[in-house]
Amino acid sequence: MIFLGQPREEKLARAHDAAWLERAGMLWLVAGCLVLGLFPVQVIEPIGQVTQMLVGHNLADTVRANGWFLLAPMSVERASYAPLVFLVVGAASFYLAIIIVRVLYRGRLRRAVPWDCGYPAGNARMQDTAEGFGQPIRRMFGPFFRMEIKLPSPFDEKPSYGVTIDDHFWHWIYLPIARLTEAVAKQVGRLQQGRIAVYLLYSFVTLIAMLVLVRL
Amino acid sequence: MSWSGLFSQLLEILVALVLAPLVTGWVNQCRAWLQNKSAPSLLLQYRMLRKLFHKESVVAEHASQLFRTAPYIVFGCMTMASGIVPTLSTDLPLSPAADAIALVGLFAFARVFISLAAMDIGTAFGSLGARREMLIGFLAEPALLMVLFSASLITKSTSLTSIAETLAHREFVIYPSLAFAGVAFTLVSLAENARVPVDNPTTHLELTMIHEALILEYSGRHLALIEWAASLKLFAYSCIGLTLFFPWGMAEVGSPQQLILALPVLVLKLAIGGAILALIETASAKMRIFRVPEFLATAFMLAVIGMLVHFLLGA
Repeated sequence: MIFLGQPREEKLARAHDAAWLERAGMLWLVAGCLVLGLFPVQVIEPIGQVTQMLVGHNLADTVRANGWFLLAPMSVERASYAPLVFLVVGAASFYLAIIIVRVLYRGRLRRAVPWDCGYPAGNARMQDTAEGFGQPIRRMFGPFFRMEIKLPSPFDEKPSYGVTIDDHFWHWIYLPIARLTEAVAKQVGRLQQGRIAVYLLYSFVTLIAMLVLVRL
Repeated sequence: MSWSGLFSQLLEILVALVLAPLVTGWVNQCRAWLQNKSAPSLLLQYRMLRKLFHKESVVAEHASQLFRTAPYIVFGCMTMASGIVPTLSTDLPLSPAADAIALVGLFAFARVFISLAAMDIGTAFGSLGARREMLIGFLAEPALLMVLFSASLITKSTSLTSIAETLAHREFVIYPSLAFAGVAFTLVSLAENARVPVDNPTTHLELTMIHEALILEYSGRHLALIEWAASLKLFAYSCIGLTLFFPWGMAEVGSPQQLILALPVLVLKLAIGGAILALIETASAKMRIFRVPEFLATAFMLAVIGMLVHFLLGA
């Protein structure tokens, strides 16, 4: 998997985007994020009823008291956030940058090959993958996982790289429990020899035992 | 929102835009002096920006629109950030709209865009830079938030202007929790602004680059915007530090005449801060990339200790 970047296989060069209906499916998620980000006060109102039922406290009243565009959960002095103002000022600073550049300097633009650091034979196969992107973070949290990394040697004809990540808890807690259960089950399984005579014997022994118990 | 508030808000953004390259120039000058070199002019940054703006932009063949838009977004974010942080006055109309948490989000937004733009070309260096930037970012952000929370626990507010006002009006005492937070903030701001020991802003070695690898493909006006934004980020971070730990000398609501005095005070504070930054940079060596998590984990831990100290001692 590659994030942005160039296609790594020949057939991928002809790859095209999904149809607009499929992409429109994403729009719902985008719209949800936008509504949540830009109109938090309105979103908190319905959620407030849920917290009212669960913990007996509702944030909606204090939030509503500060107006529809300013989110202040306790009071404006404590913490506040006005998403629309934030957006407008952000957009204004973005256009300020455009004005500075476009009005003051009408620069030209030229296309060229990207910087290759003296190695022009680089191709799309050499670019980073998602694997590489997450590697530093994964390495940092290495002690928390059980990792097996298969690194190719420089002399491999067909080098392959693989990494399997496991959970320590799986090996420390769950697998021992599973093994114990399996061992117990195996012992229990010995009782089930699968012959009718043995089962009859079990019933007979149980009956005798019960009779002895009742008798006592 | 009053007219004087609007005026101080606009003045603050303007001062940030003008002063930011000067701060970077000053730090570079101090670094050169400390390294026994003859220092470049204080105005070198302005000249470099002017030169870059006049040059043509060379854009890689595969670059999409994202690559060309990102510098504007990053510049816009940093301009807005320096408008949120109180530098000259605490009478800022933008302050209720965005508190310290929104500010951290704004920095993160800029980081995401610069990383996306770096990956857009599809060369190894771009994604190397993006990967490292994200590694540092996701470690530095919680530490920065903890520092801001330490200050907001004392002042009972996450708004930077209220923090500055409350701290400036109290009698001068050294808060133990703020002392811890101050050390943590120094570590975080070194990492966030790509300074030694985490990154070297003047490096030419591709393999050790972080911030420079991100912007390797930029040139001309795009690079000028990115460089300006980097200066603005250093300026904004310095001003966050000054707001949290040295909030004296700012104009307040109802007294805009104090703005006249606030500017020289700000310049003086930034000059001292810049000299200290240059001293730290000269005295330390750049560390390996896998040492950076330890460095930032220390910052996070110190910030958390600051918060715990606040709860234990109530100060």
